[in-house]
Amino acid sequence: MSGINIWLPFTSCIVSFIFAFFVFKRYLARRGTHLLLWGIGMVFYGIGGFCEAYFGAFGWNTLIFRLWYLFGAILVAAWLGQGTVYLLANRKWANGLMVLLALGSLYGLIRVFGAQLDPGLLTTSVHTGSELSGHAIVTPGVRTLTPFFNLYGTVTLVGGAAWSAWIFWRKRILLHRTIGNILIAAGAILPAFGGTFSRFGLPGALYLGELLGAVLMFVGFIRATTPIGTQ
Amino acid sequence: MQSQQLTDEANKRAPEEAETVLENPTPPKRQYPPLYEKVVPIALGMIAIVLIVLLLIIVGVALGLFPGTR
Repeated sequence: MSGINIWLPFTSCIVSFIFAFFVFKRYLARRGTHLLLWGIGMVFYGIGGFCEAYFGAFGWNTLIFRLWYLFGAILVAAWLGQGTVYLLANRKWANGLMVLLALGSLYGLIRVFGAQLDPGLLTTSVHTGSELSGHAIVTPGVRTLTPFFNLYGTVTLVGGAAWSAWIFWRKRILLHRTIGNILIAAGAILPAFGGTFSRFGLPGALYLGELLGAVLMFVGFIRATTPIGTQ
Repeated sequence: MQSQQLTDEANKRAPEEAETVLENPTPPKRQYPPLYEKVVPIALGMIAIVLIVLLLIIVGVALGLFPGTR
């Protein structure tokens, strides 16, 4: 197994858990459901990275694959995005969408853990088998879940951060939040592209996109929560 | 007090500007530092374009438009 397929996702995992720690710390100090959900989302991100690193180091494991697919491929973007929904949207809407997300996540859990798997399908004409991929899922209808969760997560997380940045820029206020939200939006796009390109069989895109995405989002979060100078 | 402040502001400027300040008591428009005035709209524009492309790809995958990606 290639070392890069161990260390890239492992680094991504560490960065994600450190990021989650800072988000939870801010949540405990200031409360805010958005912080709680972002923290949970980053834990999911870290679980995904850990599973990828495990696969890189030790090879196929059914439980690890299922955990990776559920947390890393299906849930992470949607839960991070839901945090942004709580930050920007009306509370009633946010709660309603949270119920839908929770039910959808439960459905995803049942489908993923009930799916038939074939690790041989990880190695095909387009896949080298060195990266995890949803192609190992044989049961129809399971992989169909990911685009819907990713669509929701991408619109809310990337769109929400970009929208926030635009609002601050339009008013020319809180420059640190404008910069931070741009970095968060850019960071959130990278794993989304990585996951999409992985589906198309492009090697290396997934793990690199995840690591760069985690780093950018972390830097963006720190920037957004740290005023510049003494504004 | 506000009229005094406007008068003080006007006194710091050239006569023609002073008249403008007194007639138009709105504060000058805020600006970011010049670098960010250029970079921020470009970055937001790029993010918007990339987001649209990404969403189209995700929708395409969901609809099964790309064979072998399901």
